[in-house]
This record gives sequence, C-alpha cells and structure tokens, in this order.
Amino acid sequence: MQLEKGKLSYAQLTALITGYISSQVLALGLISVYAGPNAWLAVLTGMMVSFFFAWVYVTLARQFPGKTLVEFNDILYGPYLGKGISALYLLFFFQLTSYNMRDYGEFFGHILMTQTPVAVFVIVSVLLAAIAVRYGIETIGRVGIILVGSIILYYVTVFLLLLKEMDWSNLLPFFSIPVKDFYTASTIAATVPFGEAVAFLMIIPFYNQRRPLKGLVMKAFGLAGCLLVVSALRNSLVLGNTGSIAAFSFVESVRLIHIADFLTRLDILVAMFFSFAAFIKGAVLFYVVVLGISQLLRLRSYKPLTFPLAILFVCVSMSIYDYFPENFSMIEYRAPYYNFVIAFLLPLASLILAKAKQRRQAGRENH
Amino acid sequence: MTFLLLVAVALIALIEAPGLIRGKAWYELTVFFIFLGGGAALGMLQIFDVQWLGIAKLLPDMIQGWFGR
Repeated sequence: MQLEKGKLSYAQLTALITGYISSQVLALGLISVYAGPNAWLAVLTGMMVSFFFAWVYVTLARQFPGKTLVEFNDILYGPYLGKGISALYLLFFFQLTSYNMRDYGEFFGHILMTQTPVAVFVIVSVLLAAIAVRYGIETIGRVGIILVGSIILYYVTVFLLLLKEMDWSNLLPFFSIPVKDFYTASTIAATVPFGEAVAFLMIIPFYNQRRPLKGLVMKAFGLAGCLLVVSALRNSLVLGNTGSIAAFSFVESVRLIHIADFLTRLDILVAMFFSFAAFIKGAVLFYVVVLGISQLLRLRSYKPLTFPLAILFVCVSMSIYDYFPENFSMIEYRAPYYNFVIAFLLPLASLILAKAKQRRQAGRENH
Repeated sequence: MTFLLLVAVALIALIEAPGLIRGKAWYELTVFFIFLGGGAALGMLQIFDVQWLGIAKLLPDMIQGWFGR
C-alpha cells in the first residue's frame, strides 16, 4: 500500500538533497582539526568519493522503481532478514535524527540564548519537524526550495562580505599535513555529511521522474559539496589556524564581518540559516523514520506515529550525549566506521545482490 | 517536567486516538499506544535521571571496535 501520495519535482528533490548534506557544517570544525588549512581540500576529496556513494544509491533505486529502502529490502533479502536489515537502517536514521535535533539545540543554547535550556530548542525543532512531516514529503520539498535558495544566497553574501578579512596566506603551507591525518579528514568528510544521504533511498521513489534521476543526485551532491568546500575555505581564509579550535568555526568567521559600523554581529544570520538547514535535515530524517516504521509494521497511515515518535526523539536527543564535545568524539571516532558500514557497505551489498539476482533471472529466461 | 510530559502524552492521545477508533484501525491504534507509551516511559526514565540510553551508542561502538580503532 502506498503510504505517501505526494510527488517531488526535480527542483524539490535537488533542494532537499543539497540542504540535507550542506547542513552538516559541524563536521567542518572537526575536519579542520585534522587537515588544518587544507580542510577544504579534504572536503573536496570527500565529495569526489561521495559521487561513488551517489552512483550506488541511484543504481539501487533504479533497480526497484517506486520502492523505498524498507520495501526493496524485503524483496531482496526475504521477509525476515529484509526486515532485520531495514530495522538496522531505521535505527541509524533514528540516531541521526536525535543527533541532529540535539546539535540544533546545543548550537542555540551555547551561541545565542545561553540562559535558555537546550531542551526548549530541541522540543521546538522536533515539533516543527513533526508538523512538517504530517503535511507530507511534497510540502517539505516545497519549503526546501525556498530555504535552500536562501541558504545559497547566504553563502555567497557572507563570502563577499568577508573578502576584506580573508588572508590567502592562511592556506599556506599547502598540503603540509601527514597523509594519515588527511585520510582521516577526508573519510570524515565523505562518510558524515555525504554518507548520511543514504536516507534518500526512502524518498527517491516519490520523485516524479520527469528528468533523469542520476543527473539530479549528482548535481545535488556536487552543489552541497561546493557549499561545504566554500564554507571550509572561508573559515580557513578568515580564521587561519584558530579555526580548528572553535567548536562552531562557521559562526566565529561570520562574527568578524564589520562593515562601516553598520553591518556587524551578523552571527544572527548564521543562526537563521543554520536553522533552515537543520530544519530540512530534521524534517527529512523524521519523515524517513516515520515512513520506514510504518512500512515495516505495515500500517495504513504513517500520521498517527508522528507525535509519539516526536516524544521519543526529544527523550533520546536529550540523553544521546551529556555535553557537546562528546558529539565531536562521535563524529571523530564512531561515525566514520558506523556510517561507512550502514551508508555504504550495506547499500553496495544490496546492489551486488540485486544485480546478481537480475542476471540469474535473465539467464533462466534465456534458457 | 513530569507534568509537561504527561500533558503532552495526554494531548497526543486525545488528538490521534478518536480518529483511529472511528476508522476502526485497531492495529494502528495498538501500535500508536505502544510508541506513545514507549515515549512516555523513556521520558520518565530520563526525568528520574536513569542514564541507560547509552545503549544508543552501543552499535556505533561495536562497529568501531570491529575496525580496531
């Protein structure tokens, strides 16, 4: 039974993928700890690797047109193992959603409204995402176009406003880091912001397929990658080596904008656009979890699960880590392996299995 | 916090349950109450500072362990 009747247009899906990937600006701080002024190069390398991930996702989605990840896992692995693998994916998406909501809360609680409890921001973001999810994926897509459009405009504007503060010698010495550190930084860049886009295997079936899917996904990955590279480059050019010690380097750099005693304290602008990006990622992940559980349990509608899951998200978000730097240890040590297995190895194994099954079936038909 | 959580749970039940009962969606109603109950239970545990939710980090830790880092 089709639980979602909405369809996404080319622009809507592109916006959602771009906004989703580019929202992971927190990882940039950690990448710059390893790669220093070469963080942008590590992100660029991560982006190149991620095109292979994107190819795997697109090819897999094309093998099962109109089927979501949970649905084609049942076809591919059988009803029992398929459900187990789907549950593993859903646990991964559930954790990602909780981390995303908590990061959003921590950002506001630490940067802007330090007297307000983090729980307030977490509850507000979860509630907002829950309302969006109840309206369906098409509504999230429509909002996504507006938000991602303004995010791109923000990136360009901030880059231009910071031109005066940029010191190109901050990029030197070029590539003077150990290969191991660069490898770690690139792995984080490939698996954390880009690898998490595996969630779109639950959303791609709702694309109206008017234009080729492959081009769309590649363009979206490229655009999101460019935004992250620009952000990393900007932070390095403006902050130099101090960028690697700031938890929110993307805010620290924007704080330096000071034009004619008039354009100052633009960190509120960062907060606004970070909220936009976090909303897109939160809403998409929330939707994926709700739809996935509903398909796994064969419910007639996903809507009744939205608010109970919202309570679960708030509870898990508030206890997923005790203090903010613990999140960095998750991104630094666990996420590269965890994301690699769930977001890359599992879809690759599914693709190989699907191709093998297809070949065997074609062989049988020929004989 | 306990009061807020209970109000939220009651409100959600009042909003969703009548529609499901009218539609005679008993299976959906059961799943709804299981998730709602789960959310309420987790919330209560957290309010009373039971820190067992580290279980959420168990799988990432295991995978990290397999890779030997």
